Amino acid sequence: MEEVLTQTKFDILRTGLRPTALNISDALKEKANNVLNYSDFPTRKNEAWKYTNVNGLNKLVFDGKNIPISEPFTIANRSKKIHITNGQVSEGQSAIPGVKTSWDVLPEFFTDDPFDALNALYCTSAIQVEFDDSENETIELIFENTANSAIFPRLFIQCNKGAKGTVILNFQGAEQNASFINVSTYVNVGENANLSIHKIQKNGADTFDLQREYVDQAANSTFTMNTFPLSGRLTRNDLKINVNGNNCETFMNGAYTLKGKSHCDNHTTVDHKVAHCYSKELYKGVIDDRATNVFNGKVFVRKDAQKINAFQSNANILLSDTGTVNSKPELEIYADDVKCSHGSTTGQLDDEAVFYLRSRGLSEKAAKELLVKAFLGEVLEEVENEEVKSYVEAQIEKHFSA
Amino acid sequence: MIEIKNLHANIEGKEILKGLTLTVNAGEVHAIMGPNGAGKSTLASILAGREEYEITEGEVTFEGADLLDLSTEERAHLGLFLAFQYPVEIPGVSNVNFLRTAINETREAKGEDPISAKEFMAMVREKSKIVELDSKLASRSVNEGFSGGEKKRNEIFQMAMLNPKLAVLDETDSGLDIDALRIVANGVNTLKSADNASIVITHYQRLLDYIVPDFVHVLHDGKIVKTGNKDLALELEEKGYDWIKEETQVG
Ligand SMILES: Nc1ncnc2c1ncn2[C@@H]1O[C@H](COP(=O)(O)OP(=O)(O)OP(=O)(O)O)[C@@H](O)[C@H]1O
Ligand SMILES: [Mg+2]
Repeated sequence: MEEVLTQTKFDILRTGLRPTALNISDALKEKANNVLNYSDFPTRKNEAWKYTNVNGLNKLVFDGKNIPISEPFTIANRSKKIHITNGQVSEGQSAIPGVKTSWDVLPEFFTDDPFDALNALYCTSAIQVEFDDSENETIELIFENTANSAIFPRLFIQCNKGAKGTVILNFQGAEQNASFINVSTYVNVGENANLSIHKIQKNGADTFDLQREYVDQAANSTFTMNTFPLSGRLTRNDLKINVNGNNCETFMNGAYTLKGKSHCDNHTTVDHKVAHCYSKELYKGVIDDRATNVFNGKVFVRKDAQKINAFQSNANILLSDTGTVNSKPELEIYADDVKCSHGSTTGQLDDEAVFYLRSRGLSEKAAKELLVKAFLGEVLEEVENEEVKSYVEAQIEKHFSA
Repeated sequence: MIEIKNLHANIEGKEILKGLTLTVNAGEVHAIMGPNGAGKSTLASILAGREEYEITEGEVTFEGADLLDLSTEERAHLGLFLAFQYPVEIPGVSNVNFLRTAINETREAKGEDPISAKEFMAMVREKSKIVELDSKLASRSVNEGFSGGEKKRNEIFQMAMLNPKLAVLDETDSGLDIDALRIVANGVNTLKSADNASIVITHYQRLLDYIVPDFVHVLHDGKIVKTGNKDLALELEEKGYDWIKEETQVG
């Protein structure tokens, strides 16, 4: 039996947090406490956190100081919207069919990740979104951080058999915001269902944002996860997808623009447990100044999962000499009749192309911007939702004018 | 238009241009010929502002400005255009989109209003016709997947769109079939006026049947070693460069 750890960095962090006001079952509470009792902040020795150091979390002060967002935004015009302000579901919003924001007792979903345990014990809001028909309704959750706060949303997204739905997770905070965002999202894609999630992370420059998505896909379903880490001090996304049924399609796209001291880490896992499925992953980003980027993409193809087509690609452009990238695609294949490929590239903008464009009269800045837009454009082409796409495009442009 | 005086330039410590002098006036067409490795593309690159070269001596005045003191884009704004010997492919950047940005940045530098969408599209139609460039190619990614000849035609299309004062064409004829050669030459001739000038770098006299030069220069070992009229090109075609090399050594 392992020893209970005392005076861990988690203990220090927890002294500044308020336990959840939601009802949490004793069983869940015990499981979560148990995980945290035996955990400390991950270190370099922890393979999954080798390049991401979260110690800065304990320097954050959740003073609640009001820092208004200068340009608050919503993404989708015709979406049904729910505002979550500093972690709390805003009051007085009209009910949306299929969306549940109040609970008697938190659902029991749980993993043994200490940050998931933290999320359960300090949950600030639990939200369920359920799609039951093929209308492809868009539900947008707008997480506005207008104060330095610690927020722990726990999300349950359910796309029932044959249903189709779109969820936009819109995280935003003022430039100076220094919050701790910790999100656990449990996703269930039913048979023949089609679910898309678009996640925008437009956080304050000192905000830490740690998120996990646990996805289960049933047979004949399609799932798309588009992730856009646009700003923040540290952003970590753990996307774990279990493809449990035959004939599934899984799409993962990511585009990131890092500058200053920001650090971004995307860990993705697709676990092909059964045969006849297709998955495609494309993550691309540009890294400027002293920013650092980590990508780790795992694809498992289990023993009997024949006829799997799995493609994965990560590409990075360094815009400065001081940015760094650690990219590691990993394929683990235990079946023999599969088609898989992965690739990872990190390089600079093509000097020849910059010179060519400048020789036609474009400023150096405009030339670089055009090339970066073209580079990230490959990811945006994969995004079917026009509103999400044009928002991200505009942000890429802004990234350069700042 | 442009005055190049005693230009010396190095790359990686090796001297490539060794005192090159050349003056081009408005309304003139100058051809530069010369053996491989003589420094023709180097001259073109330096004029366009490629930064890898170190200028050790000499000066270049373009439209009254000290050219070597300007950034690449400022040179373009002043009306300098280089048709590349090897145009780069730029995936994801549409030809017409970037040209529109280029035109607008040039206009902005001159204090003019941006071009309207309508005016721009009309111009694309008009200019792509001159070089018989398929309108599909005009809107595709810059040079991506273009054949060698299409790339060269695209250079002339861009030149037509940007309407430069001085165009430097670096072997725009190489790799072209006879029809394409005629089309490209025709493009250059159509755009010729009393206010602009061009420097045509070529290995083949053939091109000069279509684009008739006022002067033909031979660039050898980093210098202009001989200047004549279009007959010099014919003579070179016939005799090669050896006699000039010898003449230079003797001189
Ligand atoms: N980056 C470089 N590093 C070293 N040497 C270079 C570089 N670029 C050009 N050179 C050298 O400079 C010389 C002139 O090259 P340049 O391309 O100007 O010749 P050119 O006259 O255009 O020849 P061609 O007819 O083959 O196009 C050559 O000897 C070439 O090898
Ligand atoms: Mg050359």
